[in-house]
Amino acid sequence: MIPLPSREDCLEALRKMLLIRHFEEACIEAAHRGQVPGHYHVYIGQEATGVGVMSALDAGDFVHSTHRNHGHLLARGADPKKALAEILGKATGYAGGKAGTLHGCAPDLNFPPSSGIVGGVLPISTGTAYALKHRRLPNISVVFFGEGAMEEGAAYEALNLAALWKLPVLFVCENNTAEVERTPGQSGYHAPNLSIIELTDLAKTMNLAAAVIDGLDLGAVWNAAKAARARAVSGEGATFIEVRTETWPGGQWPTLVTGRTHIRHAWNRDIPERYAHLSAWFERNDPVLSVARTLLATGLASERDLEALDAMAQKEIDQAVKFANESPFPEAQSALTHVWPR
Amino acid sequence: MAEITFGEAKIKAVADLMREDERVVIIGGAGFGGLLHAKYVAPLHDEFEPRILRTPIAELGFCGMGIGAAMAGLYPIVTIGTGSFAFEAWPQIVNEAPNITYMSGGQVKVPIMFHALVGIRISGAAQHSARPQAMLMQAAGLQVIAPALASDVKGLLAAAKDSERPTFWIDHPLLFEEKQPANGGKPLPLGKAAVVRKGSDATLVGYSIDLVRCLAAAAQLETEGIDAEVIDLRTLTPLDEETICESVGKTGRLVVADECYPAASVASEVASIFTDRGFGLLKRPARRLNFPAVPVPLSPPLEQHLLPRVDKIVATVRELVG
Repeated sequence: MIPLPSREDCLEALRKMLLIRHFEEACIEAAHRGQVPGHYHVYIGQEATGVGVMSALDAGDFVHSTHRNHGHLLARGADPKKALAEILGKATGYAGGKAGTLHGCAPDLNFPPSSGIVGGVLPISTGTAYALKHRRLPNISVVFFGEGAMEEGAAYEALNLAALWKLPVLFVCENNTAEVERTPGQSGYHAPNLSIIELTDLAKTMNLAAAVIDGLDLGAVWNAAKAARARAVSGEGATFIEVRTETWPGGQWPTLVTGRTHIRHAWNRDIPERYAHLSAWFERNDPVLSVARTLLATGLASERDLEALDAMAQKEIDQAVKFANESPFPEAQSALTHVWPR
Repeated sequence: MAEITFGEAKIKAVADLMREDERVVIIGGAGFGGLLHAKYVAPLHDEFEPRILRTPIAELGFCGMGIGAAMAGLYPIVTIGTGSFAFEAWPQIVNEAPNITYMSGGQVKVPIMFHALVGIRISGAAQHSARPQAMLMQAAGLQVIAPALASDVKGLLAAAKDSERPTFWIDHPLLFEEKQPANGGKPLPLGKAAVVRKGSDATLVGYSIDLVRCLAAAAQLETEGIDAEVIDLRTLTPLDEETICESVGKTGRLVVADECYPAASVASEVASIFTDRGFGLLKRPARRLNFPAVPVPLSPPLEQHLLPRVDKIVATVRELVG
């Protein structure tokens, strides 16, 4: 079964996932060259979630994200040149260098500044949703957050508000620690710091539609998002989906521990010796390779098609790197501008 | 001259805003009246019920919700209720709302009006008597208004709304029943204090309920032959230094009445003008009347002992002039 309705949709989705992947690799390389001010977070290992959800959205929908926003921005259609320039603090970035990685935004795509405070973005998303509903617009708000946000009180207040008033919100909880940190003897816990075993049980108790989705399964993500959107727009209320992925081993202090991604590893087992201890990533847990394998297996694409897609994505990122590197830093005086709207 | 209570004027001002602009909504159940004056808010519910959201006790949640609603085409007035409850929503008020326009390079607006009844409400005790206004002045990107007069409230609200800046309206429960002249309504400039009583012997600066106390003190001082000029700050951010300097340049004496605790208070900020821009204008030391750094006690004689009362203001001016 193909993940998205048409061949074009599927290839476009993989292209976006590759774009995100190579963008994040470029970020890591830039950071190791000392070009990224501050601490940053990469979306490697979660690409199918962002792309799957965004594929189900309209231009008029709002997208809210957190410190881990690069993949969401690109999946939504943000310009990699402006996005990377912003991460490097350049004048040509989406916010003239004022936001950086933590507060990534693309206002023209209804993607306001991301909140770097864990949990902070959930209440805000209930507000954009309320406005859309109040204005009788057929649109929804999507809010992405990690399982860590469920440790903050703000999340519970937001879920309650959304459930009480049937706000058109899609809560996307990206649990990228699903299998990683289990306390020995306490089987079944899906997040290290939560006493809740199943997050979706919590959502259901609060009268929200809820589902657990495999973050490798692009089609499942897309279907869940599509159903949630329809539910929200028809007035039936909010949905909470928990999308589970394995943590990419290089994410903590980002380092290319699995090297740059090459699409041929979707069919070619020649993983370099130095990555052998991380073979699980290549063989199972990389959503980019996983989706590529699905497209091959369903006959939607040939190996040559996929190589071409990968090359296209890499080229676009190379151009973004060049643009960001060559862009100037903002003028010092611009530090004082844009405090107020006018 | 027709008179109206401040409370009725502010409710009328909100109703006018809602009538003029259908994007205005109230999140928080229209808590403009607090505990004592809830019935005065009934006309708002009668006329605008579909635009008034009665929220659960979830200030962090519904203040964040207000921010989102402001970003998506509505003008939300978020009524937090008692000023102390702003602390429940603090991350959203000071760490989200004021940063968003800047973090978007000026592209995303957050036209929101937070409202709270802050201050010593009398017998509120330690946790229901907070004055967060000085703390809010430390949130760059947050505008703070404090209308004290019935004739100003519509003008300040309209100006704040037109500015589209995230704004915190510092209201006070004791203002509600103040009977004041009913004229006014024209838009007022933000960041402009008002000389509400002209005088030559001393400058009294106040805002909100302390403006009312300064006016009462000035009336008392007049009977003693002391002519006090009274300035209403009207907005805390932006603060109008020029009007205060001009007045002190004339009188040479400054007294600031402020319910905030002393450290880094509104009064501190006003007084500090004369260490720099207004240096040399003072003939006597600047006096600040704050609520001492003591958790607010319940027992009435204890609370009264600590308030920046009218008689304390009078005594302070008398001492400076004498």
